[in-house]
Amino acid sequence: MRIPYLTIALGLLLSACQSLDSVEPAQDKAFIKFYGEAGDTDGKDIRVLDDGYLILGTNTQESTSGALLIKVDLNGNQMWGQLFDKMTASGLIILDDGYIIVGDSIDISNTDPKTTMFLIKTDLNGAETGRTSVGDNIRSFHGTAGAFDTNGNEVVALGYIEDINDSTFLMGFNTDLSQAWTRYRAFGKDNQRSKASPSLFSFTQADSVRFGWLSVLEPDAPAGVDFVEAGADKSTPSGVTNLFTGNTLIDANADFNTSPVGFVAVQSINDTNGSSIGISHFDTDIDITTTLDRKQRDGNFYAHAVVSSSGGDVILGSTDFHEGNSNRTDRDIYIARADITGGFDDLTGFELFIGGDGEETGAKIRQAADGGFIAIGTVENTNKAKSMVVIKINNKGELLN
Amino acid sequence: MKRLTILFIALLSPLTLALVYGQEEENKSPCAQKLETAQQKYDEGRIQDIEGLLKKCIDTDQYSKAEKAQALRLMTLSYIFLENQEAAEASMLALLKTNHEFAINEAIDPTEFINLYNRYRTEPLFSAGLKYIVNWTKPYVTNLNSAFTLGGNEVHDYTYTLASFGLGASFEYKLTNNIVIYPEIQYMQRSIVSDRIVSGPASGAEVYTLKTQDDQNWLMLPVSGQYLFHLSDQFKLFATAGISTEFLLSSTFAGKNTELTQATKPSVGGIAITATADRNRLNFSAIIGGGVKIKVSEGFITVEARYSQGLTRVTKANNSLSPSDPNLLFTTFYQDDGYRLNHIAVSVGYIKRFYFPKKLR
Repeated sequence: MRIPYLTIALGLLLSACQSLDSVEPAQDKAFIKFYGEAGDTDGKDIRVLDDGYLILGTNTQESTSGALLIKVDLNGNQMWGQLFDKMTASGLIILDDGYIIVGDSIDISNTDPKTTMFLIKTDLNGAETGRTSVGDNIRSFHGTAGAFDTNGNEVVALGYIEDINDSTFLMGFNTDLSQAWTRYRAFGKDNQRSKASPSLFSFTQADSVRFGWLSVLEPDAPAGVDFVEAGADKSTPSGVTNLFTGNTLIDANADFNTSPVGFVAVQSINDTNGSSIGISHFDTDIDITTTLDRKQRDGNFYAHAVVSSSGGDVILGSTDFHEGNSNRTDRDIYIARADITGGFDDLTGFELFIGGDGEETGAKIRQAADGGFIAIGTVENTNKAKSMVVIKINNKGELLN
Repeated sequence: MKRLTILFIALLSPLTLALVYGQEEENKSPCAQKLETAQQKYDEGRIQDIEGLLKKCIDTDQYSKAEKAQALRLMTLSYIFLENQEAAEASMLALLKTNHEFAINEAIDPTEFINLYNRYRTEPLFSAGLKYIVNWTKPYVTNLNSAFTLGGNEVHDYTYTLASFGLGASFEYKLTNNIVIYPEIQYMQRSIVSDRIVSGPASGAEVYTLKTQDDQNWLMLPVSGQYLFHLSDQFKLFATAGISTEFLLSSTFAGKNTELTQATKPSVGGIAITATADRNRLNFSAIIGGGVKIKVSEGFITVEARYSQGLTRVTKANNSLSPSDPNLLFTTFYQDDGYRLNHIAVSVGYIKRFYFPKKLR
């Protein structure tokens, strides 16, 4: 009688006793991760790779800043990280043999430092293999985004020149970062200042390679989408700018992207009722098909990025709306999916509010290889320290392990 | 002079003893004197006189517990020898109710008395008591979760942490002479303390530290089997093994984080977050332990040490990403690891035996 008791008890204990060495990180289908170096780190861009994700941020310390490039696995766990000093980051370009960071660099040796558009190329392990900058020491040049033209085997970078007449420019580079062509001040409309947002993408249409991006036109601050056809003479690409409804808040990252039926843009529309998210669809002829302005509850809603999927457009934004707590004014990250027809008021998808009492904002969202979505943004916690945040959700908008 | 003093003491001592003894005899109550008389009569074989001497004193509760037990023993013996079976049985039952731990003396007790005694339930029906418990708790991590990255950039360091208060009520039911079933109900506090150190993804330098303490209150229902080693009537050793069903009453998370090299930014201190909803409320553990029992009165002082191995995950898998209070994640950058809770507990208590003597069929 005693032996069975003892055997059962010992068996239970032995089955429960495992070595801590056997513990492996959870294979998450979803995750929330924070990344940062000492100082503040803002999330800028994220790209989906076959074996993980590439994360880009800007790290700011007391007297300097740097571009922080991190490769993580599909669970968000770091594979490697590199910090490139004296630059700020905006966008990433993925090549077969490495990665390119697009951003700004400041020449601090200059008594009146101006930023230059700055590109750094790394190998697949993040080690620098080349760099270049574009500027004139008179005006500040900003690099905002990049894309790769597979037909021309060229790197295309988007930026704007900061002066009394902000102007968007497009620049082509060979993959070794030697400069191929430049097109200044070709874009925008009605002689308004044009400031490019970090939303460049390339696509093929009617057998031509085209580039699309979103600019904010000043002083009236409408949003405009630019489409450019890279013809034989790339220094004079032809294109068109379409404006769409509403004012874009300058400090909110509007976005422009391809969709299954054309293109989609999101912006933050500011009016007397506060800020709301606007979403516009364009057909393949670049004509606007729908423009919706969602007045959401009592709070302000800001758009940062959009990605289209077969289930609809997924918008990354932020909001100061807090269900059941009108006293809070901090912003949380907002992720929502509209239906495929563009109806934004009739959500068929999901809606997530993610954040605490600090300030959480979004930057970019991409569709992951498993059909879910991955977003990058910035968390400023209650003691004012900023870190990059990366949020991976499944295709139902759930944060489930 | 010295001789005279010694002589004086030698003469005086017997006198003093006689006086004291006489005084004690005079101080004895009439019922106590009757008890002595009854014992003499029993020894002389005058059995029929005993009931008359003792019954009134017993019925009017004139005896101490020990005297009453002695009186009832004599009454029972007298009834046996007077062949008054019904009265003998009633007297034996009264004797066992008066002295729960009355034991026969096979050397001097008559066979008829022993046989009658053996027809009664004289063992305790159960035992019950209270204990004070301290424990040292440490999670056994089954799933490492990190709000940062686990690629070598974060260390989770858990230590056995003392929680000072626990209270238990114990019950024992004897199965055999050596095996006891031992259910309990316990209230226990547990503290889970961790240090997390995060390094920068590019620099490798420490950029963030987080000290956490999760204070949890538990209601536990352990059921154990106890194997007794009877070293003597007064001293026993025991080994224990069993299963505990555990209900989490509350969980309060306190975190203090520091961004290193951010001297201008104050650390978050004193943040307290109720995390009960992020825990599985029902859990199970396996128990193994041992201790000593020291006989005191009708019970035992027990000192016991136990090791409890958690069998179920305390933290909810999905709440690490969506905690009930988002500040757990977004203010402290904390995500629960998946863990079961182990603890070492030491208890001191007293367990009393409860006797309900009755005639067996």
